[in-house]
Amino acid sequence: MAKVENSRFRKVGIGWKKVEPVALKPSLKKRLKGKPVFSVIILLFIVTGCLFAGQLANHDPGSFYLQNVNEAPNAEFYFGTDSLGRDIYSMIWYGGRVSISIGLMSMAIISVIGITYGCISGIANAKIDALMMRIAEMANSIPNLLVILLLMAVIGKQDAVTLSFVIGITGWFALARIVRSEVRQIRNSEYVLAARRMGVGFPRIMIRHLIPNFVSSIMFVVVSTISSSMSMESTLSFLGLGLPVDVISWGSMLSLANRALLLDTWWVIIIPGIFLLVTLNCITSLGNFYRKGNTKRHSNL
Amino acid sequence: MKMKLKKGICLLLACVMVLSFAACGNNSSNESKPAATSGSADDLSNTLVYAGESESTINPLLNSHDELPDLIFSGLMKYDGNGKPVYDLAESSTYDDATYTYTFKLRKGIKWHDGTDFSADDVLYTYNVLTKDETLSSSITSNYEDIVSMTAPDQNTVVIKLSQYDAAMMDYFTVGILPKHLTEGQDINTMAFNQTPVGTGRYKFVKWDTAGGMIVLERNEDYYDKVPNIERVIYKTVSNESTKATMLQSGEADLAWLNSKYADSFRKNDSYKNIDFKTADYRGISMDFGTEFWQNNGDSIGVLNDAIDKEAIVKSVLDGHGVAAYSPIQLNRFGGNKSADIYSHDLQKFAEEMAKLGWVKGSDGIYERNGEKFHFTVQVRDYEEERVDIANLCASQLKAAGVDMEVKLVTKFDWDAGYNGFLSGYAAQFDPDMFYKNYVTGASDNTMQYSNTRVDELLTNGRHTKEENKRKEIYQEFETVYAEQPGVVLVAFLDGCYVSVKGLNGLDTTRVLGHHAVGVMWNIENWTLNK
Repeated sequence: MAKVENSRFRKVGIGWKKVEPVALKPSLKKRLKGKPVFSVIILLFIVTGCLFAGQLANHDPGSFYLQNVNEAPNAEFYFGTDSLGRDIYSMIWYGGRVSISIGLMSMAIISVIGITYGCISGIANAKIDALMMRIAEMANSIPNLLVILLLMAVIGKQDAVTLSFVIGITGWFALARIVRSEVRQIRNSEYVLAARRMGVGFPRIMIRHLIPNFVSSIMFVVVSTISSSMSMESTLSFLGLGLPVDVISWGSMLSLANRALLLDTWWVIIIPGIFLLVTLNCITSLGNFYRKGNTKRHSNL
Repeated sequence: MKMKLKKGICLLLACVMVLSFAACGNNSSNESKPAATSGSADDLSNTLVYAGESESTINPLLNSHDELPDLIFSGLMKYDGNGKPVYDLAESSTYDDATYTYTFKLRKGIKWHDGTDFSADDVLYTYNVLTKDETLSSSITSNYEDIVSMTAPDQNTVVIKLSQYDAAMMDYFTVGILPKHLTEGQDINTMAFNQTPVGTGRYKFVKWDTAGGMIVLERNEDYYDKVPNIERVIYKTVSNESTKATMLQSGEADLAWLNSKYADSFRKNDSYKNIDFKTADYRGISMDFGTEFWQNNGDSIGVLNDAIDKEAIVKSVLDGHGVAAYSPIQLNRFGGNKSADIYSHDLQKFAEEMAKLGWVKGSDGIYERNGEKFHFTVQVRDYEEERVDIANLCASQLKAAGVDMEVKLVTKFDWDAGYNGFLSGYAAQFDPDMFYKNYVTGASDNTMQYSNTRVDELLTNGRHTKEENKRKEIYQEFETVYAEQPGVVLVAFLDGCYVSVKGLNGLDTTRVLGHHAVGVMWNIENWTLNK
């Protein structure tokens, strides 16, 4: 074939451009797509703020500045003061510590009890499984608030640890049920059977073989227990049944809401309310993210 | 679609249930009050709804600072607007100086609310209970120690003989008289009569709705003096201060005593009235000498006054509606001795005084003496917001000075739990002798077991001295003696801030009110209400 000169051809097409295929690095935007970036940033901001409460606070959160009672937000008291002259801005950060740690402690207690109970129930034979699940369901059917009030009355002492304990031991039923159904699915997998045949103890099976397999599907529940525990704390403190007034938490700050409403001091209610709401929302959207991932996984099966 | 239908049915059922319950409520209230035939809207137009303290009994012998006993019962005497005793059930009296004998002539034709005739027997019976009944646990029995005998020569005459002159006796004759025919032979402390009282007073007890938290009173049409204008009084038992304020706002109550902050929030509102009374009601930290801590450290109570900035507390918690306190009777006509005001907020002086008393600051900044930390507990009822605030402020100021006062919030005072004190309130709005029962060793209202021989002497002398000037001297000396060795760290005297709806008229602020701003209804017969 005779050599044809390239120049005899003309490149055609609208807006033709030379394309050189390049291995595209997924952009940061793309990688973060679908991830709750915004929530995580805000959450990190709040958590860091609470961790560095000592540095951020410009007043003593426990002190009463009697010359500055009921002041609206201003240059000295960024978020204003309450009816006894306490600085809301400083209280927010210290109170956040208590609220968030109550959330985390309750989450830890709920996870330990819920996962262990669920695993035992899932591994056990049908009769024991049924019994254990019925017990959990029955306990779950008693209104939570009622049980918590009863336990608080029995314990008597009210501080962050006992409050988390009480919220924890009354909040694990749903988690146990999910864990149990997950375990039921994988209990007859070869690796579990093999491990059991080889005489591996239950705790080890649970930690090495069961939990890694269902951890992604319970992440959503675990994360949302943080927010539900935090809101339970504020509910109880609001009702005056949670933390004593001298322990600052977002809940105990909100317990002044009634008084603030009567005194027309909106900042006393709105500011801790916003902090609590934003934090809870961020945690929920984080939980939602895990839930979405989880549902996708199932649809891929 | 199906879901929607189901939801709709559920809603409908719920509505039906709620309505039927409401209907039940209406029925039962109609049954118990057949006389009220007009519509319920008309009924309420002349009904005063008062949001008051919570009550468990209505008995003049047991409730010494409550509003209701004074409405339902009446005594031989009553206090007028200036706090002076004037005749009530009695129409005249004579006093024999030589024998210390009072002879009362009773009004004729007085009937108990149940229609029975009132007579001198009832008076004798009541004073017998007060002076002789060993089982009676009443805080006021010490007021009647001087009575030696009582007789009723006829149905309209009562003769009461004292062992010696008693300057406050005429005041104490104001105590409400109990009906003998309904209460004789029963345990006064626990009898059912305390919840279904029958008296001779301006208002009749109708019913006590414990579930709804209200006590209904109706005016006594057969009252022997001026019959009140307001037909009915509904006393709602709420102790929570913010609830009372909310009830006023929402129109559920027409009158309430509020703490000064809440009262202030109504000041700019035209549909309410603020009525500010003076009271003799102090707030302080009462130390319990029954507990070991104060038995060992009772000498270190007065010095605490130096560490507390009372002016700041008055300005902040009370919004300026009160005065800093230095003596329990400083607002009394016999009190107010400035030389008893020996403490001032001065941490330097506090430290010096503490050193003199032998206290040394430990490594944690809290004083110690004889191996014991300066730590004590004070109980406060959690619904009394003003007291909680005062306690918290005192605690934080004391902490800054090196004293650990721990505030314990309780729903009900627990006297057996071993708390070292409580945030107290007392008042001597009439005669200063009202504090005899609080401060004299072993007296009937001395629950904190305070004891000081000099105070005992002075208060006893004050009671038995006739000349006003001498009494004034005695009580002023009492103030200085007490200030040196107090049992109560006095913080402030409160104003009695009442808030009412606009249509309530006739409240008279000439009267100095007592504890819990009690006594506001002293002239309720003259009040009018236009809702």
